[in-house]
Amino acid sequence: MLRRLLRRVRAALTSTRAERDLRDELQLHLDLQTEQFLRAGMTPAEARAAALREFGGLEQAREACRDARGLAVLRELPQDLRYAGRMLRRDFGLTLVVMTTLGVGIGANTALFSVVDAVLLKPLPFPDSDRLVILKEQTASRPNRAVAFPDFLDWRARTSAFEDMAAALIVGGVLSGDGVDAERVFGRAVTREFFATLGAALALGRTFTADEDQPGGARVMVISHAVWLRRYGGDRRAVGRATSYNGESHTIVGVLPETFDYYGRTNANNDIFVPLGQLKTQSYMQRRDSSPVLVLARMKAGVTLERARADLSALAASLAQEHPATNGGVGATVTPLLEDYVGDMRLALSVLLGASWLLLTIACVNVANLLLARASSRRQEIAVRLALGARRGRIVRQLLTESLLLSSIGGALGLFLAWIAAGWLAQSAPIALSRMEEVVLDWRVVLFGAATTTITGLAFGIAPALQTSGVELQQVMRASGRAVSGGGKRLREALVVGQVALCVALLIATGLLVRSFQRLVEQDPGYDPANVVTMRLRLPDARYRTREQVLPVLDALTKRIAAIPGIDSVSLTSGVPLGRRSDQAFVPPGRPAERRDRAPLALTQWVGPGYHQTLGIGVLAGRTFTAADRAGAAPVAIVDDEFARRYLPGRELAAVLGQRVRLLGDGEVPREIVGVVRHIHHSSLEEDSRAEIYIPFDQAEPTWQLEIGRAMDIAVRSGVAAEAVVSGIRAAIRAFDPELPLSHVTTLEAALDRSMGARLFNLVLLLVFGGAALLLCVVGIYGVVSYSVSQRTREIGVRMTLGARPEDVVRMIVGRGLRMVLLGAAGGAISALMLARLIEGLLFGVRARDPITFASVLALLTIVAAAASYLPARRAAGLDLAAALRQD
Amino acid sequence: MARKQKADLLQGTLELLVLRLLQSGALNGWDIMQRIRLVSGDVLSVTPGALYPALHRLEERGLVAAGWGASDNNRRAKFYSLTAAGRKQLQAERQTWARFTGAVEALLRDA
Repeated sequence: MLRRLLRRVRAALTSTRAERDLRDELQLHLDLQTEQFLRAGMTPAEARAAALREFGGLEQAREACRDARGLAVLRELPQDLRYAGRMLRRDFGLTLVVMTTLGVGIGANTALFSVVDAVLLKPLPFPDSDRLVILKEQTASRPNRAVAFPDFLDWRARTSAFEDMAAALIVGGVLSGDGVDAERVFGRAVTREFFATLGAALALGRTFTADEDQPGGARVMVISHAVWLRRYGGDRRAVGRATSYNGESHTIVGVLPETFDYYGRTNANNDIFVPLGQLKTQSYMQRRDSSPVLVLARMKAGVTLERARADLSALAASLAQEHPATNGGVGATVTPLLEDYVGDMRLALSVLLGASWLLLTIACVNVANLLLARASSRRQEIAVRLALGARRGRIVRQLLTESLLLSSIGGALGLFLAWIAAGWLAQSAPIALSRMEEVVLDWRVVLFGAATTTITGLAFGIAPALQTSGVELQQVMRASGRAVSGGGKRLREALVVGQVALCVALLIATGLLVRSFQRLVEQDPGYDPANVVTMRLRLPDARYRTREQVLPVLDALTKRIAAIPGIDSVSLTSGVPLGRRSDQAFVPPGRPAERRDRAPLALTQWVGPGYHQTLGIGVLAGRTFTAADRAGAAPVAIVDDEFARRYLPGRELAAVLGQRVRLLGDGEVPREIVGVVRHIHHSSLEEDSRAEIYIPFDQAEPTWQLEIGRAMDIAVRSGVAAEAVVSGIRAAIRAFDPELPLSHVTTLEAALDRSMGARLFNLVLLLVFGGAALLLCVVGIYGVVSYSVSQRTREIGVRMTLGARPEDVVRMIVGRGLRMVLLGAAGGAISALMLARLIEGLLFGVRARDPITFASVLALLTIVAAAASYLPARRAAGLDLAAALRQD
Repeated sequence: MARKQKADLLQGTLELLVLRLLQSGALNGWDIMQRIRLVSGDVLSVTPGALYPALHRLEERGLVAAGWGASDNNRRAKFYSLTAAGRKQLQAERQTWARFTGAVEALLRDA
């Protein structure tokens, strides 16, 4: 056994050419010396022995020669690598386990990093994009509202911290003409400084002139690269052509570059840009108590965010003094553009990144543990090498080479997994995660993976290397290694305890999210999404200039759709669930009117007759709207039970009927509440509940009626398949007017699934991490327990001879495993309690300290740990006594 | 074997001697040892454990070049020869040595 080891070690040490040369050189010297002694009359044996004596420490000489080479590390690297490779092949099973473990750990980290890099770290594609900020206004009830246009003008005139400021307003409409199909587009009306503020150059043409950015200016338009390709086939002569937007002729003056990315290319209102200044005559642009525009600004070079905030706050304060009626209590906020853009993803990504770090740490601990276990079986080999003159540093280096080789293989596998994962992530990530389309495995990500791999290799290699190379020579040579394993065992147990703690923390976080998701799925949306198809209809402004033109069309279309076979009911609304929403200020029953920005807000919808039936919204008291609730009839409204609870507390629902509510801006007529319906989750299942008010569309304030009526949503309930319904409706609309575009066609069920996409996405990732961590923990516990059983075979044999029953042995061993787990679980639970607040923002309907989650995770781990300890324990209890005692 | 009084080499002297011995032509390790013993009349003792690392050190520093050839009795042996840099180094070290021994002798004589 020893000789075989010796041979292997020697072979390994002498495997390179340099080593062979060194051996030959010294061997020649020995041979010549031996011959000299032979000639002096010694016997061959004597001569050989004398020559060796004379030489004095062959191996030391070799080491000294190796040391003489300055680049010993580099020279020895191929040798170390080859040796390491051989060791890894020999322990193939172990290598496989380690490789997979590391591959998963490094892969998860690298994939996650690719997401974080794309979403949070990569700068936006504008020059000095860290100086771009979004400015908003802030009141007590609306901390994050858009800006009043006159306020923007004052800010821009008086600021000292910003070099550019531009206002933007989302607009939508229909592009037509040019011999191409009419198309629904979304874009922005922007002041002329907009592109300069961004620092974005156009691909073709120019931006707006000062004259064009004024009321009555020439109608001009900048189009996106996508629209340019789609409608003009990328023809440079598109610039200068006139196209019809909302029925009015606009001259195309510029085309954006393909790389233009303002709030995401795929998911954005970036089709077209028109001058905002032409809208200045609109009343809402002149009022300080109406806040329609978003303000984009570029901070001056060298100005910090703090200074920009101070500057803007001072401006808001002076405006509050000058216009106390509208601006009293109105502050202002400055948010970096990137943060405004990806803000709500930061928390989820941080949690996921943290989870992937935990997973990698657990993987490292596991590998360190496996290497420690193997280390004890390599003690003899190491001792032999030390005896042959190898220095300790040399051995540590050799062992680290081995672990780095392991981590490199794991890292390569990890990069491969990350490559697959990144592709999947970029594809299947929900739209809600902006910038996800940019997820790629570029050099930054590969560099991150490589760094992770190296750090990992050192992290899990250092403890085993130091421990193994520190063997006491005589001890190992004398005892066959058993007596010296105590220190290693304690270290391994400590590692398992730490591992369990990390795993518990990770599983608790996962568990909390699982419970949140479960709560969310169980959440009743308040409507019945089955068999409901929704879509949006847009009437081009130019052809539908007045109410009188719009209303009959809506009426006629509704009748035609209702006549399609299979459709049970159809209803128009200003916004279907999971689509648009409109929050309006109102005066609650029995209260005095308040200033508009202080009045409470309600989700407000203007709906046609039968809307609540179409969506399956339950009626709790009173009635729903009928065709009789038309213009000129008594003004009515329907509210939800949330409204009743908040603004008419303590009343029976029946007593809510007959109360009056007044919508601000809506002609401000008092409306009699004629029905109370169930609260619906309009924007998403997890939204904060805001009270809801329904108004008959026919009774909307006339100027609003025109705006709302040109962009109505259609909701249809039917017993037939969604595709059939949609194609039937399309055909009906086309027959009526081929230039009316339909958009946002979806079923409510699909929209509901989509609205939970981001959450589900996070959850699936965390479940994968949690599951992998649990698996690694099982491997870790099993490894340590079965190793300790193998070390204690003799002791167990003695115990059983002295009368211990197999059950006692099992209990003893499983108990030991459980003790480690309970220690770790306690640590993990405590850290989870401390970390809980970090993920609170991701939870829904469950507290961060949810006892059920904590208890289930701890129970799960205990069971798993017991199972992982039970197998080796059974083996120990089934020992062949005679063999165990004989074993030396 | 009768033991004569032997002197350990001063630090750094071995390399000077090796360079000097190689001035007249390429030698292998064994030859170098024999010559040191012979020329010094068995006064200077060099062990293989010191000589070979020194040779490797010199090779690493580029003062000597090494190549494989056949020894006297036709065995594979590594021969060392002086490089240009080695020649220069030898020159410099000889002068240093002369100044050093001159100074020591002067002290021993006149102090």
